[in-house]
Amino acid sequence: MAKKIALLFLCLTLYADTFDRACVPCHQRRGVALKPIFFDYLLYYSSERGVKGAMREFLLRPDPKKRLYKKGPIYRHRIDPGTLQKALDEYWERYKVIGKIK
Amino acid sequence: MDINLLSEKKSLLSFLGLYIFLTLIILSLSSFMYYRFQKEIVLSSHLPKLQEYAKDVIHRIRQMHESLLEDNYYPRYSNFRSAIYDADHVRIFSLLQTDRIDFSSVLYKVGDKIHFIKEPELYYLGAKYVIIEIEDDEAWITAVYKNIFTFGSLFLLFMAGLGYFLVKLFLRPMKNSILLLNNFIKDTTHELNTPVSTILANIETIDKSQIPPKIVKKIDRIDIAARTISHIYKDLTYLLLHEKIPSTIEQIDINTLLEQRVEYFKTLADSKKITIEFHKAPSTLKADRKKIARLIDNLLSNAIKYNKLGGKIIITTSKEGFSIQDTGVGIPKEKIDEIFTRYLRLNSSEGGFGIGLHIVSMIAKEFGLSIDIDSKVDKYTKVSVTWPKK
Repeated sequence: MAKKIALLFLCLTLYADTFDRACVPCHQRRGVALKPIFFDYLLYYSSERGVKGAMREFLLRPDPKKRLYKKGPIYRHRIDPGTLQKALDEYWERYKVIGKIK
Repeated sequence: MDINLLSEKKSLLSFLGLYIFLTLIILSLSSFMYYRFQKEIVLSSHLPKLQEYAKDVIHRIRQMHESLLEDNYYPRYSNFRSAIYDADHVRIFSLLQTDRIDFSSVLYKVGDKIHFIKEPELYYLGAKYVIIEIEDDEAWITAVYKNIFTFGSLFLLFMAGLGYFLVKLFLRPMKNSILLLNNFIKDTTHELNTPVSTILANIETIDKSQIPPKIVKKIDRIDIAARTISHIYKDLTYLLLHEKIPSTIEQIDINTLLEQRVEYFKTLADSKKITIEFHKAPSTLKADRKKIARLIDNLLSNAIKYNKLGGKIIITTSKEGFSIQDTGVGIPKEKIDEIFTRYLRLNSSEGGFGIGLHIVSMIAKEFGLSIDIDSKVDKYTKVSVTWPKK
C-alpha cells in the first residue's frame, strides 16, 4: 500500500513539474523570460483557448509571421505534443490573470 | 326597428370591432416603435460619457498589463462600475451589479442598468470586452408611457370616429335597399291578408253536403292553398313586426288551443291521409295566446309537411308541456342544432322559407319555454315543448 501511495505521489510530482522540467531551464539559460511572453500572447489572443492554441501552433510549427517575441532567432522546440499540452496547462495556471486582480 | 336593420346594425358593429382591433394592432406597433426609438435616444445620450469611462478603464488595465500584473489593483469609480471579459466571454474581473451581459450589443439596457461594451484595440490582461455599467433613473420611461397613453387614446378615438363615419357612408345604400325591401314585404303581406281571409271565410260558409263530392274536393284544395298562404302571411308578419306586437299574458288551456289548431290544419292533414292521435292530460300555460298558437301552427305545419303519405301525428300534453311527433323523414343528428337557424331548410322537397322553426325558437325564448328535439332519420321527429314548474 505504501509503495502504491509513493508511486502515485511520484507520478503527480512528475506531472506537475512538466513545465519546470521541459521549459524553464532552457529559457533561463537563454535569458528569455516566460512571463512577458505569456502577457504578449494574452495581449493578442485574450482567452485561455486562444493563448494555448496560438502557443501550441507556434511551438509545433514555428512561423516567423506569427512570431510575437521578436528577440533572437527562431528556436525550433523539440517537444512531443502530449508533453507540450501538459506544459502549456501549467504555464497558463502559473501566469493567468483570472483570480489575481484585486 | 326591423330584424333586417338589426342585422345591419350588427354587421356595422362587427365591422367596427374588426376596425378597432386592427387600429389597436397599429397603435401597439407604433407605441412599441416609439418606445424603442426613445430608448435609443436615451442610450445614445449617455454614449460620450460611457466612452470616456471605458477609455479610463482601458488606460488603467493597460498600465496593469505593462507591469505584468505586479500592479494588480483594478480601478474603482464612484459614478460607474466596470468589468473585463476575455474573447470566450469568460469573466476576468467584474464589479458589475448584474452579470446579464449581451455580448452581441454595444449599448443596451438591462433592468435599471445601462451597459456599454467597448473592445480595446489590444487585449490588455486578456480583456477583449470592457463593460461599463451605469444606473438608469428610468424617468424617461414614465414620460414615454404618458405620451403613449395620451396620443394613443386620441388616435384611437379619432380612428373610431372615422371608422364609424366611413361605415355609415358605405352602408347607406345597403340600408336604403333593406328599408325598401322591408316596406315592400310589409305592404305586400298586408295586401295579401284581406283576400286570403275572404277566401277562407267564404269556404267556411259553403255547405259541403249540398254539393257534389268532386266540387268538395276542389273546394278543399282551395281551402288548403288559402290556409298555406295565411300561415306564411302570419309567419312573415310575426318575423317583421314581432317587436311591435305587444304580448297579452293569459292563462291558456293548451288542450283547447291544440284542438283548435288541429282543426285548422285538418283539411291539410286529410289531403295527405295523416291521422292525428291526441293524448290529453291537463295542461295550462301563462303566455300570449296568439304567439303560442303561432308556435303550435309551425310545429303542426312541419309535422304535416314532412310526414309520409298516410302517416301519423301523435300529440301528447302534460302538466308541464306538450309534444308533437310525426312519422316523417326525420332530421340527421348532426343537423338538429342548426334547425332553428333562420332561412335554413334541411329538406327542399317541401315549400317554405325556413323561418318556421326560427319563429318557434323566438317565441319559446320570449316565454322561457324549452324546446327539445328527438329524431331518427326516416322514422320520426318528436318536438317537445316544456315550461318550468310553478
